[in-house]
Amino acid sequence: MVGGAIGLAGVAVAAALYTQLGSLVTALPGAALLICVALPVFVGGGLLLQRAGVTGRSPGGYPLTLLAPSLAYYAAFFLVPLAFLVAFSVATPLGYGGVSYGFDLGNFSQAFDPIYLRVFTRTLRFAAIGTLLVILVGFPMAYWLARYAPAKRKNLFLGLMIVPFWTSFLIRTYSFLIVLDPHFVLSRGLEDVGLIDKPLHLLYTNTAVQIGIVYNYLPLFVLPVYASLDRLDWKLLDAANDLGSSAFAAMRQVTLPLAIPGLATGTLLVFIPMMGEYVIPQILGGGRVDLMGNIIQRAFLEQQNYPLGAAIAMVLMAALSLFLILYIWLSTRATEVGDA
Amino acid sequence: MRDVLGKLGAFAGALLAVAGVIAVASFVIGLLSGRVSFGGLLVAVVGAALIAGVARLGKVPSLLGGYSALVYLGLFLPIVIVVIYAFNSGRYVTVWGGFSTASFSRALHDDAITSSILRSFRIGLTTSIVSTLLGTAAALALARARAGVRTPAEVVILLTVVVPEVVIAIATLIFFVNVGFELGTTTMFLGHCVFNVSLVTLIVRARFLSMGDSLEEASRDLGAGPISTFWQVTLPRLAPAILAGGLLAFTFSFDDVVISNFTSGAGHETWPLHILSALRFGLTPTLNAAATLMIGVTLVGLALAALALRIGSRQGAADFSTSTT
Repeated sequence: MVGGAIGLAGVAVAAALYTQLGSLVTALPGAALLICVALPVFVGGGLLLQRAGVTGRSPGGYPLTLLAPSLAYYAAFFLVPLAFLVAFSVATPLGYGGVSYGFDLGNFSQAFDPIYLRVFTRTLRFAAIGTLLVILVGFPMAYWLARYAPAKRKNLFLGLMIVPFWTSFLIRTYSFLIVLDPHFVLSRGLEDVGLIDKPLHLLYTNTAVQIGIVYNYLPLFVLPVYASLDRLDWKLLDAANDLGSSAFAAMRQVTLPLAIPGLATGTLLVFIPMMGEYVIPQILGGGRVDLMGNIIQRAFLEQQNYPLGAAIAMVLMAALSLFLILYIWLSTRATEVGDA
Repeated sequence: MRDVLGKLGAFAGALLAVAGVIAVASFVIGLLSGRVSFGGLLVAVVGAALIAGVARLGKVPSLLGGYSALVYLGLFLPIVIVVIYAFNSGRYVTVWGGFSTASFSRALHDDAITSSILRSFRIGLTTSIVSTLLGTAAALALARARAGVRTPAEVVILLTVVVPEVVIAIATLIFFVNVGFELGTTTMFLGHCVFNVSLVTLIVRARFLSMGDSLEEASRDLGAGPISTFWQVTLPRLAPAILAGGLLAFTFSFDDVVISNFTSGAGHETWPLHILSALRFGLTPTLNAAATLMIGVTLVGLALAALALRIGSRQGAADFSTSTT
């Protein structure tokens, strides 16, 4: 009950903030109502579980009802919307966002149209190459941070890795509109040195989008890999050296197996958002490079064909869950190998 | 002096090695796609020689250090360029035409920019408060709950983190439109909270788990109820994690493009949405200036937060040492 009270108090605080700042919107009472409806479902579920003897008070001393508000929130604004998404992907579009509910697989057959399949393979290629490049660029960096960075200034170096995150994602992305511009210093300089014979022609190409993707996702990969390498006992490497293994063999047989969980997490952390990315191609591709995200976005915001967009999104989710299963399988195997 | 020279050498060595790798890689890619030229071969040979030379002359730790400096440079240079070119007075955004601060006053007098920044600020603040409340409560309950409750909750939390943002965004849009919400500031805030509640939960729970619960137990044994235990024992120790979670939630909400893009409706531009729509008509110095101002504000805010945390932790340490002696 304390939890429910805290959750409602949160919503009340939010409402108060809005009124104070002069914008009470009509939707807010609706939202509160929704949460209130979702809440009993979870409390009831919790009580049933309790009756079944599965749970009680958590041993940490805080009542489980504290979980209720956030679960109610997830139910109202995450799970129900996902259910709507599934329902829409098999509904019949009537135009302008309207649908008639039913079981119509037409959206899916449209989503598997060769045009969209080409976009899908392109997205897969962008995400795969992007992830590979992020690993190539990021792993040595994480390795240096974990092993060789001066201990006193390690926090500073980690902070420097995060600071770009705090400057807006869009600013970071559009900075390449300047950097890659054919009139910018970079292009002119390369021309003067003689490395290229005509102005840089990168803007609004696949390469520009790929650069933008790698640039934006790099820190997201480096941090988890650093975290896993940081726990590694470097004496193991010294031992491997003393026992006569080459630096390369030590890397392959000692460092990599121990780093695999972090590597897998980092890879997943960049690969999944890359598959759904649409802002970077929109800015740096100038509408000429379409990924899955762009197709979904256009289906929703321009064509208003919600069912088609929902079907494409479902295809994307299905593909991603395959990768997720692969990841879980690999990581459990890695821990088994680590234990053995 | 020798130290500085050594670092410069490592940096140059890393630069040359990276150039060599790029040269060889571009030759291999050319070979695979069937484009071979004499010039390409020459470049590849030079590149391979560079790699071999650097590997022979340099030591691994210093080379890696130089390489990391290179990556840091690459991370920051684009941002620095945006800042520098905000002071450009030239007619073209990308061609330097002299120093001027005119764009800054234009940015400050642009209603679309200031109102969108204010709206983002409002949404970020609300999201941060609500996510912190819900997330902290959930973390407390989840931390030591039995698997029967924990697992389903964890699956939902994992889903909110793993499902691509664009999918969450369209699902929320469909939901809002069909349930009868009017798209606007509130729907954006409701959409932002989903991910951020999970974020705060994960951060606070990690901290709570690493603390151990002996102090909570002691407090309970001494007869304190859950509420006073929370205020007097748990909250003070969790404060840094809660603060970090709230700060992160604010940033993610403030910076969010995807969910806002779908759930904003017409006429409710946030700051990122303003950038996105302004970019449709091309980059302007005014946009650069506004971006620079925002970067400045963020950095100052971050510095203040770091300072506050440092003073806070010193205070905490001082309290601790006086209470133990």
